[in-house]
Amino acid sequence: MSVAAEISHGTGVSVSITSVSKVYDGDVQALQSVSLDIPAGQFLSILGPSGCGKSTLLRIIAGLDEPSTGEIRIDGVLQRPGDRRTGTAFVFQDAHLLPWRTVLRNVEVPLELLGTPRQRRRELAMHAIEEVGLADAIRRYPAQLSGGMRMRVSLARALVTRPKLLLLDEPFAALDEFTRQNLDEQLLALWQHTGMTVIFVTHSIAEAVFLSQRAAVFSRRPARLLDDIAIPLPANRTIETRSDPVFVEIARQVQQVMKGQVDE
Amino acid sequence: MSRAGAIVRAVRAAWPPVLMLVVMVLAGELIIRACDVEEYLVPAPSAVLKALVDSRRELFGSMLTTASAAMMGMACATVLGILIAILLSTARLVQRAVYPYMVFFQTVPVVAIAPVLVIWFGPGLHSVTICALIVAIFPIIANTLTGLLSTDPALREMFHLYGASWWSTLWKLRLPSALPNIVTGMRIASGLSVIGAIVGEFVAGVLQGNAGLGVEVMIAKRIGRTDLVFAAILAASALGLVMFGAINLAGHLLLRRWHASERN
Ligand SMILES: Nc1ncnc2c1ncn2[C@@H]1O[C@H](COP(=O)(O)OP(=O)(O)OP(=O)(O)O)[C@@H](O)[C@H]1O
Ligand SMILES: [Mg+2]
Repeated sequence: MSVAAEISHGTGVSVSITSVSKVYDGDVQALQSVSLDIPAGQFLSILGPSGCGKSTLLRIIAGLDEPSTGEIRIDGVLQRPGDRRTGTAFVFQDAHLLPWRTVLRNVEVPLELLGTPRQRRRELAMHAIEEVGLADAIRRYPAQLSGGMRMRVSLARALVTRPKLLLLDEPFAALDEFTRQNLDEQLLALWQHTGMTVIFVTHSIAEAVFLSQRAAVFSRRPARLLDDIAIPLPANRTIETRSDPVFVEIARQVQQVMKGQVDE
Repeated sequence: MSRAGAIVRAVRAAWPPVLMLVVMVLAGELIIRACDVEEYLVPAPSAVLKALVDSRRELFGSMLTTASAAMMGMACATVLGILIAILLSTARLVQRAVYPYMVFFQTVPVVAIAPVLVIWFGPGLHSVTICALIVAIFPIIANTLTGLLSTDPALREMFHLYGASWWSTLWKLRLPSALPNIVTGMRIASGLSVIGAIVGEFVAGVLQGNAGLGVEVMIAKRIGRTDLVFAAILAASALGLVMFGAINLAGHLLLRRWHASERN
């Protein structure tokens, strides 16, 4: 398999989740018959109360965990446990960088593991770092970066293989509001020019509505799909989008659905 | 300015122990002279100093002999200890089966083992080196194992996601993240290896060429030169300090860029 082909600018993949349930250790049920169809190239946000099973779902899609029942198909292909999901990248809540490597060498890690030749690795890593606006910091170590910069490196590391499916688990939750909005805008721009499919888990309703084309709202544990809300905002979103009547209306709607979960 | 500041700070940090040393030495000298203690029981500090100066060539040669055994023991303990820790961390069943015996073995004093080594390897450098190895290896195994088993799970998953082999996960992730623990283990082992070598020399040391410090102590004791015994003990402490300092420096150089323990 040629690496160049594997990491060429791809469009996204479709993901279909059919009746996925997850029971941990025989008694903690995290997911209850979740079904979702995500067309190629869509930006989907997942919202739900803390501890309901969002991370579990994301990990199952990534192949880091197995569903107890149900199935995951990527571009129609049934995913079996243990399959390598090339083309999928995962961004965790914290940056999880290798502290002994510089920014550049951190971003090179996925390419190294996939066996990309050195020269090409450098080029791709530099490009990914430029995309997240960190070209000045390539020689720095993670300990010398701010939290926001570290998260950018983490994002660049996920993007460097040109994934067709990007999974993010509350990636910017630990950052301040300003940095978070800044990164949201960058992520949006990256999604627009790569065409990858994005599944984004977040606690922030505003962030979900601002970023995505669609929001899936989950119930308290065990997570069931409560509502599946389309977000018909224009592709080009800016600071002003946040005061757009559509934005406000949908945020209110999501709020309403989520509120039922807390009061219940 | 900052250099002057550093000197001021160093002096400030150093004066209490230095003052303590001066007071102790002077008090020792005075008490021993006042009470007229027999030289062969407790030599006065001045007598020890004189022995140290008079026998400096001999002591230095002995120190080199002991140092080579301690350093070789230390080097073997490091390589072997890391390999054993890798094995134990990989095969959990082996770990469970073997580890209790290693803890037990560790409590057996080397003095008790040394005669057996003499039977197997004969007296001399080999047996002494193995004594140093035996006392130095356990802290290295224990610390490396802790490090290998506490690799960031998210990073392991990331490596898994990119299809990393066992070997590249070890080489690029698990060993580097265990490095701070390895250095800690070596730091503890450095002092122990000198102790191990000297104890080894008590039992397995030989008198030809430059005898080690352990042999020196035994001979000085036999001929009633307690001052020389103390001088040899001081030389042994100095050796332990040099080894500890060398490991510390190496650790600092390896970790200063990225590990919290060595920054600033
Ligand atoms: N490995 C595991 N073993 C047992 N139970 C687990 C495991 N992982 C998660 N759980 C449980 O499954 C439930 C869902 O966890 P999950 O991490 O998916 O929630 P989440 O929606 O991501 O929460 P948060 O928003 O706080 O991140 C929780 O009750 C959690 O305790
Ligand atoms: Mg979570």
